[in-house]
Amino acid sequence: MTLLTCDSGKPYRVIALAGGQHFQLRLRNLGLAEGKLVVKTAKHPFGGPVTIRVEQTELALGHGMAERIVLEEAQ
Amino acid sequence: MKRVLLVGNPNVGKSAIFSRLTGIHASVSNYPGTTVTYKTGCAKIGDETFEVVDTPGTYSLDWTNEAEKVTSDLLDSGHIVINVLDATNLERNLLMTMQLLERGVPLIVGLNMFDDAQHKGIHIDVPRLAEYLRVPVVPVVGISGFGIKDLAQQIAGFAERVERQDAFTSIHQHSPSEKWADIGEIVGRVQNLEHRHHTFLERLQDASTHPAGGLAFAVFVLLVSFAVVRAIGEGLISLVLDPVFEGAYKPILVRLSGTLASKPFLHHLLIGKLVDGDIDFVQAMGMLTTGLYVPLAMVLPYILAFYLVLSIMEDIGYLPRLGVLLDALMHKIGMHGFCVIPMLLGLGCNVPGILATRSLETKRQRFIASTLISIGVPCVSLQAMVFKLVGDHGLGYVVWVYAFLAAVILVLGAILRRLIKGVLPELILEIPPYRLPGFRATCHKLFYRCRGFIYEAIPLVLLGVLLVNILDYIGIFEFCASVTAPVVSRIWGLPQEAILPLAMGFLRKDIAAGLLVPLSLSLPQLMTASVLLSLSFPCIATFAILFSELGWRNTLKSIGIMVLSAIVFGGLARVLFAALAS
Repeated sequence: MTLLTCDSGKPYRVIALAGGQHFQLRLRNLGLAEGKLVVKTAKHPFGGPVTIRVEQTELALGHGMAERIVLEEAQ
Repeated sequence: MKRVLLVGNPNVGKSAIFSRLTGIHASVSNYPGTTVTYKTGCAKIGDETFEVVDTPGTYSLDWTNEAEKVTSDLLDSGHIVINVLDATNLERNLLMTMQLLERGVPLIVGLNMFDDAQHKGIHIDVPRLAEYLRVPVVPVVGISGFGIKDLAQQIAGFAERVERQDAFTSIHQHSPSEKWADIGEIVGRVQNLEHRHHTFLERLQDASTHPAGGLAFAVFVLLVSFAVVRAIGEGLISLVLDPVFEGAYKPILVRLSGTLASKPFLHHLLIGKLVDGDIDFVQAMGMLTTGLYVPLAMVLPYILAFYLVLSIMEDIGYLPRLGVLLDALMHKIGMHGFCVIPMLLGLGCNVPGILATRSLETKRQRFIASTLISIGVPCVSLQAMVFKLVGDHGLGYVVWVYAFLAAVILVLGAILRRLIKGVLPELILEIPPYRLPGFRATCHKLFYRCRGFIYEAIPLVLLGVLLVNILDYIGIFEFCASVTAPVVSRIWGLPQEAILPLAMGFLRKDIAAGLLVPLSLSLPQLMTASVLLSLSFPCIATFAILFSELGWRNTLKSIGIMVLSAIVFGGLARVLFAALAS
């Protein structure tokens, strides 16, 4: 499951950032690293961004990026 | 002089601390990317003076855009580095602290927004954090000034230790996963979270980024802003400035006009042409009449009103949310959602708008954004005049001028996106929490923006008036007007003398619009001319910034696009507005 397909409002754990080194680096710098808990807050229509909450940060990520962030359900 | 660098993540409040340390104004807002270039100032602490440098925010020392590169390049030049952290977001912020420690720079940590963290129920054990990091940690609140004295003392004490070479604590190089594990452990030990119920601001926060609700909210915000700017602007003009100019200033000018009667050239230059024996401040075109009236009594009230509303929106943290909402639309015109911020800043003045594009990742995006701003985004000086000239016929017509320019941006953006090859990076944007604007900070910013306008605009307006008079005296206009007549008259449907205001737009857009008044244009002609003043050649200040930001090649390209779109869209505007007004 990816950030694009997961449900809003539920906690998930990041298991992989499926992209190049630059992509991974930028996301990790923003606090979105493997093992972190994320909650999707909204998905915007027409290929718009996905907004998420990681710890105390709220982030907006492009559609295609959200697709490359692999999640699993958090217990 | 020892150099102190302020570094840290975007939107943690480095500029607020810089202002407190140096007493120099630095623009502070609540969105990532307010500072795009470094700023230096001096701070006197005890007997020693330090050079303090405010740097653009960066998430890491490996830069990803122009603004971040500035910081990375500066880092080794600092004798002392102050890493500013957002206390409400400790974990994410500590990543950069770790990188700085790995690099072994002499470091002090400033824990900013400490009050905000406490309100949110985030308690941080400061001595313990200092113990783990092995560097001084000072809690501060940049906006209110809390803790700045402690920070200054640390800087002074630290400077001595740097000299003795015992201020360098460096740690071993971590792998990325090790770093997060270490940070997680530190945060777990020093931070204590208390559960709080959602506040009103937090609820508003979620509602205003909600896809449907957010859009409705955005339209509401836009309409309210428009109404407030108009009400404050018009209120100031009719209640304060017009009475001052007409009641107090005019009698002095009338007396001066009498004494200058024997010196026609000087009279022409200072007072200008009398209309029916009376001084008409807009039409006279004298340096003491129109030259002062236009910037001070017509534009300044709108500058004040516009920047008041913009400053409040910036400080609350609304702008990044607009970016998220409009991201999908912006992709259609070759940019991503963040570009909404430079465009809104461009509505004040194109120059800061174009500078703000430095936070964009690619050159292609910067080129498209800068070009679209200088073509389709009218600055507030021009808008104030359009409000007056077109608004006198009905506010609905002003809305049409805006709608036309918005349509130009969309159409031209869609064309440029296809013409210019390159990839469009996706949006990655941190959305800051809503914060209540600090009264002092907001007033400060407003004051500096208004002062900036007065200092920069008035000399140029006076120069413009002088030039118009001299050119008029030499009689060079008739020649120019006849050369450009085919475009001005045939395509745009304006009298051929309209080339004077359009050309004067290169100096200042406000005085250029003022020059339209004596031409007694019809309503559709006025609307077309207003649109053309925005579309055609940028003013000299915008031109200079385009040149320095894009380089001469791309500036030439950009100008080519401007000239072409002025001809095409100007012609379209003529047809559309003629149909509209009939």
